[in-house]
Amino acid sequence: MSARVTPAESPPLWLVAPFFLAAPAGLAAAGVIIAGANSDSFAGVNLPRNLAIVHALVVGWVTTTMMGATYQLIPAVLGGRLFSAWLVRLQFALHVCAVPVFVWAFYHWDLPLLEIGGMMVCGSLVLYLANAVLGLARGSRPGVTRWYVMAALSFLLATGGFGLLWVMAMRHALFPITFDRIAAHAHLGLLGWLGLTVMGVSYQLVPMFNVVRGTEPRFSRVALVVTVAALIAFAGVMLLAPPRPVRVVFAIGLAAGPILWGLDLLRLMHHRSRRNLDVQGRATYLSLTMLAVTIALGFTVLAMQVVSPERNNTHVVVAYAMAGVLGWMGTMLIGNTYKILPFLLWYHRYRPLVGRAPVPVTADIYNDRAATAVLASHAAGVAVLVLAALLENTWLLRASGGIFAAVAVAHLGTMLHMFLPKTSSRPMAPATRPLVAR
Amino acid sequence: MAQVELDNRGLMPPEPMVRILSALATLGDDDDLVALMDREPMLLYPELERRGFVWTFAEAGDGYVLTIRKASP
Repeated sequence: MSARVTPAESPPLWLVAPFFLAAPAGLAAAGVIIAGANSDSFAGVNLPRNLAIVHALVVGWVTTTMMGATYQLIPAVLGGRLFSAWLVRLQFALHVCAVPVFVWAFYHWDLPLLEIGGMMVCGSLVLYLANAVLGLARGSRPGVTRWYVMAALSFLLATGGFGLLWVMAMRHALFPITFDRIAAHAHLGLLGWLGLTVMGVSYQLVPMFNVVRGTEPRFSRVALVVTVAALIAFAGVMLLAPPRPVRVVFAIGLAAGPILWGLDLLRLMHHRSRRNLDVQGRATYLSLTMLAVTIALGFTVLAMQVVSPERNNTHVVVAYAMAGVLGWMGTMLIGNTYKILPFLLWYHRYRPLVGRAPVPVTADIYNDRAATAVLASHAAGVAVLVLAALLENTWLLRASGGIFAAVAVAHLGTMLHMFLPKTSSRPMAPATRPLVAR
Repeated sequence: MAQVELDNRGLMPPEPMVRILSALATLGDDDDLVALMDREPMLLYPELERRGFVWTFAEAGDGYVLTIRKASP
């Protein structure tokens, strides 16, 4: 077993693939919990069931996928070197053990177990951060994506630290965990870790996979600076329970970065050479739509807090959080999984044969129709869930849970299908373009 | 000595790698393969090394030029 990954080599297939294959379990678990929802689901955001759902989605599904994706992208796209393959395997083992304990403890509101689960999750995060940060530090390619990922990793550390502190505060009655403190932790995680990673990686993958030429992103640096500054200010201020008008200012700051990023992505997609959208292109547009919905719901939450602070607006907060996690980020993750995993498989299985035998291309490795069906079902699930939350309709909420559980199984099925042997859909040829000899 | 040109601009990964490795299969000992690229092919390099080629990579206009030839014995 190699302890180090060769420079500029893609990491071994079975180092990265397990993260992608394990991640849908988080989505399935969240779906099953949502499917069993009762009328109390909209009584408060900090209900055990709601916290279990959010952490199954964020730590179980999205974070696990992002860990696998960054382990692949750091060497392959950013020119870095993972510090240790052995550390990746250890981290994966710890992570898949930690997540069920963590989610179970939230669901049953078992504070001693929650403390243990929280420590296990933080242990996994520390091992991941060690490998990813050292890997990035060895990177040979400058660029804005590198800065986004570095910032995202810093926010991951802050999110994990705050989260564990909140758990210990509840367990040992150190100080009260208010709605504002939960909001600070949630935004550090959702926008700081997940959002910045999605934004930064998109600046690399969207132009690459859609063959964007003749244009460059305009706001990539501004969006990063604005988002980082707004997040630090927001998290700091929310710990001090600020007056409502102050929150409006910080909310505008939080929304500005993703809006600029969204405008950049729309421009990049407009200039793409590949006019036929594949699943990743469709996911990009869907994700941008979900981002717009998330921002609108975020401002709705804020407006309701300012206009009628005494009213319980948990249902709108739930719609806002789920549109962000499942809609904006989840949709983008599903789309990019059908690019990252086929490329990884192609690289390890078929690259050595190129020039010696006909080989499939990445489009031959996954089924675009099945992938699009998964993406469409997921988007439908998000729409049903957001509608259910806004209408405070428990039956619709349960239905969305069933959709997500089914999407998780189908998503896993389409990924496992990629591992079956594939043949080339095209004859062996160096090019459709001329090869000119002088 | 011949120079073989390959325009890989506007292609989605891993197609540039497929085209380059396929073209290298017929490259003469003293020939150069000059490939126009949209980005640096980080994952191609280890494969070139394994197959006994050396390369240079440079910026050119709004893209890049990758020049590959067989390594001297």
